[in-house]
Amino acid sequence: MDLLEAHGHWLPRAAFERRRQFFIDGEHGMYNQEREQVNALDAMANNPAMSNMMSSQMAMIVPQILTMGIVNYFFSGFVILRVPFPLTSPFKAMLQQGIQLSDLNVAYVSSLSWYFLNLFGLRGILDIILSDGNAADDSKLLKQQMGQAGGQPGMPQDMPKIFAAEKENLVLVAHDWKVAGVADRLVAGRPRVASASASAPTAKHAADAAVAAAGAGSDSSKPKPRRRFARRS
Amino acid sequence: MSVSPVPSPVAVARATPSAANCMAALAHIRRHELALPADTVAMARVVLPTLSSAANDQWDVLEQVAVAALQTNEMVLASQCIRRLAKKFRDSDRVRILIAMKHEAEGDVQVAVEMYREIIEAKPNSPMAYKRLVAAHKGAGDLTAAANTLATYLETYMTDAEAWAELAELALENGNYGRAAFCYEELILLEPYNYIHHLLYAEVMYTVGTPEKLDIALAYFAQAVELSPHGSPRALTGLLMAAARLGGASSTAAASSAEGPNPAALFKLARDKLRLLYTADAPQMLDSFETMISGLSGSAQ
Repeated sequence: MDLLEAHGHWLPRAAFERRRQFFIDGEHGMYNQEREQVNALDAMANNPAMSNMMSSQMAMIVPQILTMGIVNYFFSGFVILRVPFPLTSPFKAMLQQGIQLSDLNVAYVSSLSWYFLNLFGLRGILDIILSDGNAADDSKLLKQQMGQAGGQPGMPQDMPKIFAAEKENLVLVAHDWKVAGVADRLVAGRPRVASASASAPTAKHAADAAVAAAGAGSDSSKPKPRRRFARRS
Repeated sequence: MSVSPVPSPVAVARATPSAANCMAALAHIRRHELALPADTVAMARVVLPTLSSAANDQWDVLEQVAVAALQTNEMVLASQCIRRLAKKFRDSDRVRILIAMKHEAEGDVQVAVEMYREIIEAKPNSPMAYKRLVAAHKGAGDLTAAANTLATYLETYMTDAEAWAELAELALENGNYGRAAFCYEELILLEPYNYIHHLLYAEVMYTVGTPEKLDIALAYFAQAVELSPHGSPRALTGLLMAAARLGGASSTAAASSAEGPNPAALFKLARDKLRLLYTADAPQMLDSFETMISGLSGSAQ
């Protein structure tokens, strides 16, 4: 994933080390710098999409509560029908809301419960009848939510953790200069596919040479603050 | 230009410049980012009088024609296009960039630079303005400023390979080989299978010319030869020169076979391959090539 990890083997040892140091070196390394933690709640509060969703939800909930109050006031307290089959007592909570009679047969349904049963049970049918041909709204909404859950917009990632993992990977990379074996391969006239076996014996030699070059250049091994660009004149 | 039996829309429009053909050609030029400003302006003269406001791509066409007109010094046409765009998009950075480009074309580079700076200050995430700013500096001959602006741009957009290549060229113009080498290293990281990057990196290393850099140059010239489809002549020449500098040209060195990359063997390889190429493609140059080879061998001894 990391570019340096994946393709760093194409660079000379000194150049690779210079880039590695840029990321992991001491306090100045890219992955070692202190970063302010982003509070998840703050991020959510600052996210306009999130607050939009909240306010639209509120607009739905307030009328719902009002309707519930009215329904509760007018419809509670009487039995409206009797289902033509026997039911067990756990259904009491579902079918006899608003009536506090412990002895009443469960087959009798209170008005309030009937209201709720119809409200939720007939929603699909009502949607088909009442809506203007967009009965698929629910599934659309669901899809939208699924998509959001995947992408997590505005949710802050835990960067320190990611950086720590990346740093560990980078520290562990053993630089294997891929260009080292090319010259020999070229002279021997061997094709490129045999690179694994062909480059093995010369890799060590090249690495030694590169280390020597780095030492002579005195440019890569000193732990000093580094910029993205070497500003030399 | 195209290999396919279907003629390119540009060729069709050149042959029969009808409005429909010209629209198709302009779309083709836009999609493939072809540099044909003269053709674009000629087609615009056919298309613009009848450009319907219902066409989906009318604004794209206007922007394209404006840029092409500026490139060919058709200031009246450019002003027309920019005015129509500015009327529709009042507060657009793209239109502002076009206006700045007009200033550039008229020679008021300083005004254009100020405009680009303002756009960048207001919206630091506008790569187009950055690139225009670099181009304006470069056009005005201020290569240091161009390179520094491009470096700032690359701190944000560090995967933009073309920008790295441009910065490398600017650094070479400035004689800043360290920075150029850094850019080519980044390019190798981004596109490790493009032999051009390896080749140019090797050339920078060869130019710097300290012993350890020459070793690296030799390795990367070899790499470029291997990666290029038929052994690029430029890479082979580089290999030849680098091997000669490392003492591969002398006849005494040819006998000793040290471990690792062997300059003598590489010199011989590059010489033979180049000789074949010269014999096949440019026999009249073969004599001067042989003179150069004997000169290299002579100077090494």
